[in-house]
Amino acid sequence: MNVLTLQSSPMTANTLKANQAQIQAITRLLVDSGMGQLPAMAADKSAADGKTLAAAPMDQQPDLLAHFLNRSSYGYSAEELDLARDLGLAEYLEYQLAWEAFDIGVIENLLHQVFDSLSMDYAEVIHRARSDNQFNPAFEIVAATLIRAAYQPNQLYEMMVEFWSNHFNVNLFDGAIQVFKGIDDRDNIRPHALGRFRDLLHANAKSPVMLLYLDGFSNTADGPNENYARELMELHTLGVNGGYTEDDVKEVARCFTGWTITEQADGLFFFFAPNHDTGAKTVLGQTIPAGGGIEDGEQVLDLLASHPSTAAFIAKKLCQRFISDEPPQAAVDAVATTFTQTDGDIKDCLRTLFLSDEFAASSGQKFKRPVEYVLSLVRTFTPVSNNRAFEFIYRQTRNMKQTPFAYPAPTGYSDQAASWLNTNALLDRWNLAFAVAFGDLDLGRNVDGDNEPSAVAADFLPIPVLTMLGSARSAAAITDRMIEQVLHHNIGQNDRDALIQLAAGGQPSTVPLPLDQALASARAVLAALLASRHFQQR
Amino acid sequence: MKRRTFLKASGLAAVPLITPRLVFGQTGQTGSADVLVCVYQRGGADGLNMVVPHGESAYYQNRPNIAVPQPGQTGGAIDLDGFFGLNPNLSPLKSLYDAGDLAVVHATGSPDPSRSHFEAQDFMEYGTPGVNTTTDGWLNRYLATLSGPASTFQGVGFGQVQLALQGAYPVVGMNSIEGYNLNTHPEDEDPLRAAIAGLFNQAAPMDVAASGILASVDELKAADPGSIAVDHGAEYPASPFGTDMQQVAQLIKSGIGLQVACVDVGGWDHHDQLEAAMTPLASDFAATLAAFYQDLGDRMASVTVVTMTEFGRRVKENASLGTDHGHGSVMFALGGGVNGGQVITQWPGLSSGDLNQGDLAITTDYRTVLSDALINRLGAADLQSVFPDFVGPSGAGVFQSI
Repeated sequence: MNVLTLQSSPMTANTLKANQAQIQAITRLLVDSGMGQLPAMAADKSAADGKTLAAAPMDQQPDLLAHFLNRSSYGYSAEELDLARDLGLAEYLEYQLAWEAFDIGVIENLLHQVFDSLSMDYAEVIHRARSDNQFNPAFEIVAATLIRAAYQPNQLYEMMVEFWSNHFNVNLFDGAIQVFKGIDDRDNIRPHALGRFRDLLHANAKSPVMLLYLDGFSNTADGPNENYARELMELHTLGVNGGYTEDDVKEVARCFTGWTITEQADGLFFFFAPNHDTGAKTVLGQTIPAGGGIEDGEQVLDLLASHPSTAAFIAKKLCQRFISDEPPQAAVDAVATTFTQTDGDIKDCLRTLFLSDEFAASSGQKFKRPVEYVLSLVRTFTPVSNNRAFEFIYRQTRNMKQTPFAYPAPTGYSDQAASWLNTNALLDRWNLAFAVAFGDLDLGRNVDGDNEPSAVAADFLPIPVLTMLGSARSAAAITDRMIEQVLHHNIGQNDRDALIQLAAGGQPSTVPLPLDQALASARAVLAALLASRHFQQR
Repeated sequence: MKRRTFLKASGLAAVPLITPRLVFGQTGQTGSADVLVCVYQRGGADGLNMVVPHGESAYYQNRPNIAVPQPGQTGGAIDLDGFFGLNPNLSPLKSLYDAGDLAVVHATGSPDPSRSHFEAQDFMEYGTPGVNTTTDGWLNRYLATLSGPASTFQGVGFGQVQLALQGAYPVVGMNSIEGYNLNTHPEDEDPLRAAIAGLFNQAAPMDVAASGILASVDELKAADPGSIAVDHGAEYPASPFGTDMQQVAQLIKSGIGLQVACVDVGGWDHHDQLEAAMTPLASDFAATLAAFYQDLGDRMASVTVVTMTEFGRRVKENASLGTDHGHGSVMFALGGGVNGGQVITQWPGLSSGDLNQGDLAITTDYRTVLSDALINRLGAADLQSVFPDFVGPSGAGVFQSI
């Protein structure tokens, strides 16, 4: 056996070759099925120009449900917000947590029609990788991941899939991982993303991609490799200050000796007893007696899954994801307590988190990462048909350096604003916002060479400005209507005035404009609004 | 009415929005301080195969399959001083070394024992190895010590804002000079800028970045570095590193006020097939540095390039004909103010007793080299805030005083 011979030429997210035939197929299927379109935008509730505020008065902050949708989804329509408001937070949360109850079949069927590797087992992907040099499972899993995040209705589940994929990060472009990551996603991450942490940890420890990525496959009694042992404790469970020592790293590595992969095993994972160190070990003060086999490593995983440092570490990471970069300790402690009391039940942890006062008070405290920014552009608007939204998502997330599974280090993509916010990154977002809002601008510098040179933003993500405009004609009415439809809440007077001034172009802000000017003003307001902090944060 | 005239008629466009803070000088620098270009070899570059201790028999004993042969043999090292030699793929650096403008510091690096890429990189870039609580980079703290008129382009990170540059002091991230402008219709630009300025009028990091963008796109447009040609027949490789360094040279020549730049060159994590993997990388690395040197010509008198990597590799080759994570490695220093033409090292040796957990020991802290550059080439007086826990030494004779 040698799965490593599957290694193709070195790739990065930038050299990953998009399969143009697959792009066209999935785009056509999405459009034909009607699934390429998201639910309609809010109806124009204004009776007449000048009275464009929605029926319910809008606050300057998102209400709790809008805040929850900002955090727990990749963007949302007015329809979804109405549903959430009808149900209330606790009930809408339960609706989202019941991830298996959603009808996701239409999108899944489309994906499986186009991306063969999603249905394959290890033997099949290995065979195809050896016999078909067009076979590109790395692109397939990236594409499927982005399409699910963009279109599936169980958004919190998709966010948690991303969370755990990033927590147990492997570099998609590291050798044979590109062939196996799709199976790992399907078999090891997705079944447990809203399940139990212990199950996730065990599945990951035996996953071929992790065994390859952190060199566990070559960890033997004669030549121990500490790579996995170290990251298991530092990144997957206890955290770097979680109370383990360098000796613990060495001992844990000994426990996992013999855990390897072979083509002869269906799931590739194989415990090869002759390579296992059968001596006694001491891990975190606990003795693991001599003479053990595969259970040595399994015992370590159980020990780590139940450790209070793991509860605290996972709780903090969840709170950083959903509350703020530096979350209040009270929230972290509450989630950690739930983690401990429920043996790492992820749904229960999320219930504690989202129903906490600290969550409710955290509106706007997170800076969108590139995937969130790009997907929220798509999900905020109702794309008109014939759009190429998938290409938009795929290329823009790549250009903004957050292609799924492409982070090279085992830490995964950062969840801290400081990692993503700099002049060029924000400038790229502004330029993307301008391109989308005006429609006729070159997506330009952000788009790779696969693209025809004359392509403009509206080719990829045409937005229905006329529909959005409704009957609004004055600068003030246009501004309020754009704010309502994009943000679903009002904004401070200073910011509103800046937008009205932009819409008015020197005219009085209450005078109706001719339709062509009103449309131009609406686009200008959208450009500034999508560039603003209100759309950059969540 | 077209939107153009509609907006122009409004008078909005006449509002002065941002006053560029341009600093034009002979070379664009304030005072006589050098421009410092920090090149980071991501992944842990194998110093022993970049600058080969061909006079050390333990090197050949530990690397029977992947050692670079002794000078004079086929594919042999290019001798530097009778003991060390350059990897032949680094041959473009030899003439720079001979001209006295390139020095090698060997057995150097970060003293923290971590063999973890990200922890080691973070520690190095924060400038506080082993400290988990640092939140800003050593270059950002250095920039914060400067006084006087400042360009928005004082600190520029290429491809990303590297951790070394991150912090409270505003810096610029740049993917390309060409793409660094506002993408809009000319007639919409001024009104949009006015709106954006109004929307980002607070003091949060996003507002700092926003005002940085509005200022820097203007400064860049005025200085127009993109129009500056490569000089002296230099040829940069068409690689990401080559492209980035070419643009650093353009920024320097434009006089935009660049003082420190960070550039990454990735891919040095050679766990297997070291020779095949390192050959193209080393060629790109050396050809780029040589092109940069040739392009800038006399301007290299006030430019200092320092390279670093998070750690070196295990002395002993592994079963995959690669090398695993190690400790000490190599830094290169390039510029007119370098005491070049020498390998600067307190060589610890490669016999088993000399090693640090099987790895090349570190006898020169990387902060010694960086302090040497900051003090002697950038005129820094007090590095307490830059390297707070560092007790020195703060010089290794790598640089001449300005």
